[in-house]
Amino acid sequence: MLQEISLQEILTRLEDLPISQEITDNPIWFPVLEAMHVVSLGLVVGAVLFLDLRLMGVFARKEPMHEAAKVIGLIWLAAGLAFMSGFLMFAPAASRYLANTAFDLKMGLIFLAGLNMLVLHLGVWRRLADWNESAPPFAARLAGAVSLTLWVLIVILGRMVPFTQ
Amino acid sequence: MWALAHQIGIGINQSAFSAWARGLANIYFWLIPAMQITHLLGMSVLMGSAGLYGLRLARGFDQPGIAASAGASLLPWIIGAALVQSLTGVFMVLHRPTRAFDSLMFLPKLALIVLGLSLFLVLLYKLKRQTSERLSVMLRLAGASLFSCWIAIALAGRLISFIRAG
Repeated sequence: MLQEISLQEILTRLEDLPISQEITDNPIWFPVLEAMHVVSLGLVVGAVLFLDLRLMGVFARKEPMHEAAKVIGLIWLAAGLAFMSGFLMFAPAASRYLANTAFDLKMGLIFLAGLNMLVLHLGVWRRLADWNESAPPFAARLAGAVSLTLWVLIVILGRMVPFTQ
Repeated sequence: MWALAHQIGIGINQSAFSAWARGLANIYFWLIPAMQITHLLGMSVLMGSAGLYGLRLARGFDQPGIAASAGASLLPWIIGAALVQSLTGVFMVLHRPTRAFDSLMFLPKLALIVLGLSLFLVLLYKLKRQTSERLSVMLRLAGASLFSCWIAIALAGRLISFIRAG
C-alpha cells in the first residue's frame, strides 16, 4: 500500500513538472517528440537488426565483426535520443502510460534487451579477437537471436500503446 | 500543387480500391495496426541498411574493399523492405487517401524515397568500380547525404498526420 502511494506520488510529481505542463499546453511538442522518438528508435532497431544477424552468422559473414560493430556508438546515441523523447512524452501522462499493458510490457522487454546486451559484452564479446573473422560462437548467436526477437517485440508493443488500455 | 494533391486524394477516396480497403479494415479491426507495425519494421530495416550504410561510408571503411561487398549484401534486404513498404504504404493510403494527400509531408516523402533508393544504387555502382585504396571525399559526402536522406524520410513519414496543407 505504502509502495503504491509512493509510486502514485512520483507519477503525480512528474505530471506536475513545468516541462510536463509545457508539453501538454503547447501542441507543437507532441509531434516533435513523437517524430524524434520514432526516428531514433527506427535507427536503434535498424542498426541492432543487422548487428544481430551478423552475430547470428546469417548476414555479411565475410565482414569482420569489429567492422560491423562500428555502429554501436550510433546505437547508444540514438538510444539516448529515444529515451529522452520517450521520457518527455511519458512525463505529462505518467499515470495513464503506466496503466497501459503494452507500455509496461515494452519497458520490461527494453530492460531484458539491455540485460542481454550486458551479458554479451561481459561474456563472449571479450574474446572477439578469436572469432572476429570466423563463425560466431554459440553464445554470440544466441544473444543475437534473443536481441532480434526482443527488439521486434518492442516495436510491435510500442505501436500497440495507443490501441491498448 | 496542394490543391491538385487534394483532388487526387478525393478521387482515390471515391474509387472502388479505397472502398475495398476501408471495407477490409472494418471487418478486420487489427488490419491497420498490423499494417502500421509492418511499415515501421520495414522502415527500420531500410534505416539500418541503406541509411546506416551511408553513415558507414561517410566515416570511411577500414578496408575499402569491404565497402562494395557490404553494400551488395544489403541489396536483397533493401529490395525486400522496399516491397513491404510499398504494399503496406499503398494499403494505408487507400484506407485514408485524404490523410496522405492533404499532408505537406506525403509527396516530399515519396520524392525522398526515390532519391534515397537511387542514391544507394548509384553509390553501389561507383564502389564496385572503385580502384583506389581509399574512399574519395565525394563518395563519403554522398554517404552522408544517403544517411540524411533516410532520416528525412522517416521524419516526413511520422509527420504526415501532423502537418496538413492549407
